[in-house]
Amino acid sequence: MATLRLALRLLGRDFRAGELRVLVAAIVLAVASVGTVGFFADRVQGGLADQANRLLGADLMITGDRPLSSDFAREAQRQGLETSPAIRFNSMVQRKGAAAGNAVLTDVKAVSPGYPLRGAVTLVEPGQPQGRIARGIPAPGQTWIDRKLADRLDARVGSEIAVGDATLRVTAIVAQDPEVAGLTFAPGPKLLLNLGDVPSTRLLRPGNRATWRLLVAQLHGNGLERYRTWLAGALQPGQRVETVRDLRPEVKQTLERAERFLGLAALVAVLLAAAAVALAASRYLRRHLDAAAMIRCFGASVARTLALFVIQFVVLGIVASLAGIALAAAGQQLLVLLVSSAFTDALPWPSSMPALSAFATGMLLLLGFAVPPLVALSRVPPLAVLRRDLPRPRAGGVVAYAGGALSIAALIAWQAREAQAAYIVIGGIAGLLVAAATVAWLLLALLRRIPQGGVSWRFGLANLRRRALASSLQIGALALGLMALLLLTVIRGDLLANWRASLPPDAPNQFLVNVLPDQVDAARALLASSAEVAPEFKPMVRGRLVEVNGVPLDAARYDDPRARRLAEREFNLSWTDRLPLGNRIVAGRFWDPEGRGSDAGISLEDGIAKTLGVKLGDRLTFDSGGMRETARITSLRKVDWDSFRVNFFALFAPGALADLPVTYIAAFRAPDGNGAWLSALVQRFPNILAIDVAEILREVQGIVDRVARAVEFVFLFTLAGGLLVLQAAIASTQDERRHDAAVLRTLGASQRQLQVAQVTEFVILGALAGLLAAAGAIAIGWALSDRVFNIPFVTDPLIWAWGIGGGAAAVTLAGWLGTRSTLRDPPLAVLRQLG
Amino acid sequence: MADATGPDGLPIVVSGTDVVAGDTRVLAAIDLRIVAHRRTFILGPNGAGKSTLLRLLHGLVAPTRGSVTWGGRAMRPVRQAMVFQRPVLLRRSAAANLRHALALAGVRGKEATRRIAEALSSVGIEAIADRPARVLSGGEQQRLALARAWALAPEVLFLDEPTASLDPTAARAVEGIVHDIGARGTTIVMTTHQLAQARRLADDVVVLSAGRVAEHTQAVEFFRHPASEEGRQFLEGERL
Repeated sequence: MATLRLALRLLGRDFRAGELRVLVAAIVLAVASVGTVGFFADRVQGGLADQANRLLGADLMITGDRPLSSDFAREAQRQGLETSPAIRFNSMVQRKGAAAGNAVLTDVKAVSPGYPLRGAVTLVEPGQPQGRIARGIPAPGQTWIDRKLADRLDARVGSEIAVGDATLRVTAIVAQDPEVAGLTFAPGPKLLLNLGDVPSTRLLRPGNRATWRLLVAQLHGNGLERYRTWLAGALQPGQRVETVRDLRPEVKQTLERAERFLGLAALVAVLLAAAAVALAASRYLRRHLDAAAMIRCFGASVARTLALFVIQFVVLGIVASLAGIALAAAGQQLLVLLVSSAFTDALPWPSSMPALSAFATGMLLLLGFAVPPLVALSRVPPLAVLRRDLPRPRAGGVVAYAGGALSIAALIAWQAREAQAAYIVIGGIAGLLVAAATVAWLLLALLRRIPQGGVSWRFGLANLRRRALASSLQIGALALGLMALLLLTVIRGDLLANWRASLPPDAPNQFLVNVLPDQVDAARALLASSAEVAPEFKPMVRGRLVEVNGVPLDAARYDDPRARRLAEREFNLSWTDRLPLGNRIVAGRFWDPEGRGSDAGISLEDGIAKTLGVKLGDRLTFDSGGMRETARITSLRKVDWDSFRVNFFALFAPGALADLPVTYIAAFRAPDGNGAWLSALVQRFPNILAIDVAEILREVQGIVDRVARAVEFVFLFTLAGGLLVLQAAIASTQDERRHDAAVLRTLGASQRQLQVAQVTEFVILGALAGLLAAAGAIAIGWALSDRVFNIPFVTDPLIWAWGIGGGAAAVTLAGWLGTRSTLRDPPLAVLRQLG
Repeated sequence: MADATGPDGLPIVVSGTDVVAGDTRVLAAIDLRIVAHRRTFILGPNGAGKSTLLRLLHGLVAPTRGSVTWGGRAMRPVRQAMVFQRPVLLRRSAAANLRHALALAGVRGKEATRRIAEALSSVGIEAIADRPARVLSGGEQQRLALARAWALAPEVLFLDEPTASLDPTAARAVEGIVHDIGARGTTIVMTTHQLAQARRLADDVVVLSAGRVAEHTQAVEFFRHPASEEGRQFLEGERL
């Protein structure tokens, strides 16, 4: 008890004296960065789990890109299960009559009585913030639209809306729907209508892209499992079963990846904080030698002395970790706000798990890296009070920090959740640090050869060189943080600018799809008169690859998820008599202009051929609405997808697909974007979908910006970590600096000379870190554009100025703030204080 | 007491000077003249203000009242050096300690290298030029501090009880160095408790008591007939 009281008193005194500032900051930073990401991930996970329970509106959903056989519903009913069919498709939707404004591309869902079998639709109800639960579904002739569509159309309850040929009256605004609301990125506006109204819209014609669904729920009995077993053998190509378990795998996967990435970015901050803790703890050791020796003089055993210091650190760790958790709670809320518009639903509150793991991180970090100096401190001989020349105790080198290193490794493995990713990250960070430190060391050696001007420059540089390892590590740590920020700001902007520059100025900004053969001439004439464009309409047939060389295609045999998806879904086929612009033959020979029918073969896009593992000469069979077409691959093409022109994976010669249901697609550049021509077109041809590329680009850009902002936010922790290492390093050498400054002043150095020496040191430190950061960011930017995005990489030379200038400015400011006191104190007082 | 004209920073003249620290008047009404080429020893019991007077003469402490001039100027001259009781050294090699001090004095390149070698050799530590200063023994550290002061070729060298924490052998070595430096024409001002040391080395003696100058005279005179009561008591061991 007496030990505890004394420990608390000593801790309070050290805290007030500012001895523990860096240590506390390092723990708070580590806990805050891990906690922020942890809370955020937990909320997203919670959101996904919540949704999984109600998103389907059913226990199980069968989906298909063709109308589903009635066998599915019949068997479900036979097993005692409830069913409800639905169709989902996209359509241009517009206000009816005088209020008709712009047409809006809308996600339409046609539902039948019983929907939803699970969960409920919530409607907006004035005066009730929670809304009211809907009973039933929209009656025939009625529609429920979501808030987004209501805003875009300026529609309200009572408005009339044209959906295809049908006119529907809005009878409710949907606040939340098992599928309307969703944890999805950038959802479009939604509309619910009665399944019975679909025929009158005349929108579902052959060639239309729609998803037919059957919702199934087990309200009583236990037939669901038997039904699932039956389904396994009954599904046809293009049909899938979705359950809550495999709901939105792509969204879930994307978010999981994002969380992992953010988690690892936070861990970089933890690693840097660990370095700061180790530095701060070793300073603590140096500054408490006398106190420890005195305690030993008064008769305390090694064990009691150790207990005294460990208790202080444990209390310190608890307080700092709690502060870190409080900061994390605020940080995660900011993170959610930064990306919130990417989600349509409010995220649930986080659980306490992330707080516990962040707390554990803080304590592990503190004990792993601070205990070795404490053990050394407890073994200080009592004689150290009298004999300053006795060897000073050291923390025990690398071995003593093995515990700390192991706990960090465990933390990374835990955060990465996969051993391989953990190794890559640990290796990557260590490699980056070692590389940065090595380059920094070489640069420092190089600077030595530069003719040295004044005494200040010489002294500043000597300071860096004398602590070469520490200086190199500081530069490495700072470079890491700066590089992350440069990548996310300058390089990201450069990549986007380069990508935009790679687009031809006449790139189409509008796509028309779903144009029926008998509408082509009239649509062409309408566009010529209202938008003054003459686009080429290209035929498009939707077909599924069902056989390769006569062998039925089994999607399961592909390991590559993209190949599996391609094998399961329909893709767009077309015919042409000549090689389209922006296409280049890389193997085989394209047919002559007079080539006709399937004998001329198929020209397949090179990339998809590789993905599907097919080659020149292979026979491919496509199925379109039960009709089959077989032909050999006679050529492989490279396609310039960036041109935004209409392109197809598989091309046939004219006549080959003539008997299959065909629609037309056109791309053109409308000078006024989504202008008056659209309204005229949609009113005349409601089935035609107009896709505004600019709008999609804006949406994608918006998501990228939001996610980048979140990543930037987390990388701020990394930069703070770098600065903290700098601060810890400065603090750990503070006494030395004060002493040196005092000695130099007794030797006649002016305050100005010393100031210049310190600023020189920090400018060099920051500039070198910035130089490395800029080089690293450019290298990664180049790799991304060359290997991933395939666009020419031109970077703004200002990145060097940003890196070097920004690094020098930030580090000098941080350094100056940390060391200005060393020059303020009278030299005699310093020398007396430091002995 | 001999007077002399000489280097720019001398004589050091202290006129009617008080130094107050907090509520304590450490030095009171000091009038003192330190002249060139002499070894002046400041004697006095603990708390008499010896170190403060030394720092006042060096310009490290500003007078609260009165004035200090160096060669008739109020600006503290550059060519002064101070050696403390506990040697204050940069945490660098022995040679680097000298190199940085010389750089501050504007001496670089070959001239600096020559002077470093000369200074280290004159105090007998040339063999440890590359060793870190902090691992040297107390005697070696003090010799290094003297070498650093010597290398700067100061007009005046201030020494604040430089042998207080040394064993007799190391103390004698340091005394020898101080003697040599003085013999080369450097004016020396030194504080000490040790009468024997003052007897061996001093040309002039300043006796300080309770912050006041009790006596300022030639060493031979002082040791023969102290003029002040405080000087007598100090000499007879009544006041230490």
